[in-house]
Amino acid sequence: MDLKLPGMVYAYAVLSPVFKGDAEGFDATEARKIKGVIDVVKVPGGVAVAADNSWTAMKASEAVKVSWKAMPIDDLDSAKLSTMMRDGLAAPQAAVAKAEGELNVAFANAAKYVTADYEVPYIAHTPMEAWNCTVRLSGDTWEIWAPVQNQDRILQAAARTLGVDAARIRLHSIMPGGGYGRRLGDDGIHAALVAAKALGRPVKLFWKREDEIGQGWYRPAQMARLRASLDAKGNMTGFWFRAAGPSMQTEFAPAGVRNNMDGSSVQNMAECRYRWGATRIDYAMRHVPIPCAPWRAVGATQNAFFLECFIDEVAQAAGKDPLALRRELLAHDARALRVVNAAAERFGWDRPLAPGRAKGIAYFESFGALTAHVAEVSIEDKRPRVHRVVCAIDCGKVVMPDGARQQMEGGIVMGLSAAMGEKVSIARGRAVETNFDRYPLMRFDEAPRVEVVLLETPGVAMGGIGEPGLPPISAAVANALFHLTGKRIRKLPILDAMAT
Amino acid sequence: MTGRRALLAGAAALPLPILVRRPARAAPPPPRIAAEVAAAFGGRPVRDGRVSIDLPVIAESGNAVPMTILVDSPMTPADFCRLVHVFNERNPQPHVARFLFGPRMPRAEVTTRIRLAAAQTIYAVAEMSDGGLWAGQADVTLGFAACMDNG
Repeated sequence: MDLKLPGMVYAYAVLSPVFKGDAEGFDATEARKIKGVIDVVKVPGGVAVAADNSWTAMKASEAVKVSWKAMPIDDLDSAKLSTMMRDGLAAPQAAVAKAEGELNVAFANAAKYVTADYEVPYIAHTPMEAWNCTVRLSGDTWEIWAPVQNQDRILQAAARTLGVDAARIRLHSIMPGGGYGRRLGDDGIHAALVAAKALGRPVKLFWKREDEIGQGWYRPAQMARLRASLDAKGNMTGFWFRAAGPSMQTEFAPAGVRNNMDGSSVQNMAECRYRWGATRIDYAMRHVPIPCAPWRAVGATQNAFFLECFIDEVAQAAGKDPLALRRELLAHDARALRVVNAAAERFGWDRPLAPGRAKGIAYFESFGALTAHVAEVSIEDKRPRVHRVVCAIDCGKVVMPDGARQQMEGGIVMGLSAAMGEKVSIARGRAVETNFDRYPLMRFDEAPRVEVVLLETPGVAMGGIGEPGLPPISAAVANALFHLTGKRIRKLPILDAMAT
Repeated sequence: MTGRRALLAGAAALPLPILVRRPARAAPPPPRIAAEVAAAFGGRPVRDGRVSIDLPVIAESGNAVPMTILVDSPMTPADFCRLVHVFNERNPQPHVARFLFGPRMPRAEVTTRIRLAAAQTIYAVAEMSDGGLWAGQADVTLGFAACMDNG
């Protein structure tokens, strides 16, 4: 975002606080009187205040009076959203990803039946660099400099906004100051294109932090109801996973959805290696028009939390050790078993922990890689603290061991941060937590020691490494906290759950 | 919630599973595919069967979806699969690939990865050495569609 072009002006975006909202009208009489202000122009989503430096543009924006259009989600809040999702949990109709075996027979013959509901909030990507985009018309070619993850989409979107052929656009991808999925979207570039066109000179359009988080394209909020039947020996005989909530792809790439099935909402569930008898995996879409996009590891982030917390609850109901139950469910699968065992052995699962400490385990497969985490926790000053995380991963072939380790460490820290304190609540159709004062990222002194065991399996398809390290951490920590406190954490973030 | 009451509640709420799953439906292909098939094979008749397409029910990412096509053929000089055309319903390009086989190959099988812009039906048509055409199809849903420039 440090790019400077000759003759470039700075345009500051004033965006509707309500998702997908826009300006109805604006009065910039006072702003235009301020020295250094060049113009105030209407752009998609609001207005842009252009000045010869960034500070003047930001200050002048306070003098612009904008009236916002009324939006259908002006009255949407988190409570209403939760009610919609809960309705989806009990809905008779749902899109089925997998139905195998006689689940109704398994449930009817159960010696014991376990069920629990879980919920995760919207979360933001929070790249350190806020959206910015620099645009210049050079001859008949539009040049765009932007920190983007998805050049195809940006190019097509820019062509539509400018009304020109894509061949007349030159997109320069610049190093992004963080992305994690946030820079897959094209929302940050339209205002820059429109402003450059209106002002007739090179423009750098930039957002403030509050818009970067408050106008994010989030990991969707989601609920899940999980049910399991056990026989008299405590073996699982049936399993039903119901996800309910907003659909990421309906917002981001609607072509990926068919027959009300968004594959990201049941991601990695239908292919799960656990053998638990009759199985049903389904999804009840309860959509609201809040922008969503892939967030690192996509649907695996919430599904690992739902599933692996629930497996711990099943272990408790069956009177089994959480590791032992996972070994039973994976007994037929040497590859998965080795991953779970490697994490447990390196951690020292059977060794007693110091007083006041507890451990939790979670296993999840995503992006072609099998990952298990064991976390050790305590409570310090009434706050949960994660001391140590042992991670074992089998992604097939490891090409760059140091890179793989770093991805595990980064994924664990990012996933832990999200699980501990991150959430975007909705009130009056807008985000409540819009800066780091209310949207807490984990700090250096809260980061655990991470140990990584890299496993290889010859002859299998190579899996990913950028995403699979993240999903299991929320459940590993939530499970550990249950073993410490006796209280189940069924709703993220953990800090909120522990405060209630 | 554990125990008998919860069990009854859960069992009562369980809807009957309704699921259409591979192997291929013996349904006609979507119109766009039908047109492509007609163009590739000169409108000759196509029968359902002998071609199986293995695709994930839900592919994690449309950027690289693993696909295996297996044609039921003895692969002898007298009776073998000559080629397989693969078509799709909703990608920008309707024709995915053409794979050629010969009688010296032990199996008419191919594995590759394809890019999918949307949840859709994939359709494969095999031409046998006797000129007979056989087809199979599979549906795939996505966790993350490739070519995300829908606007």
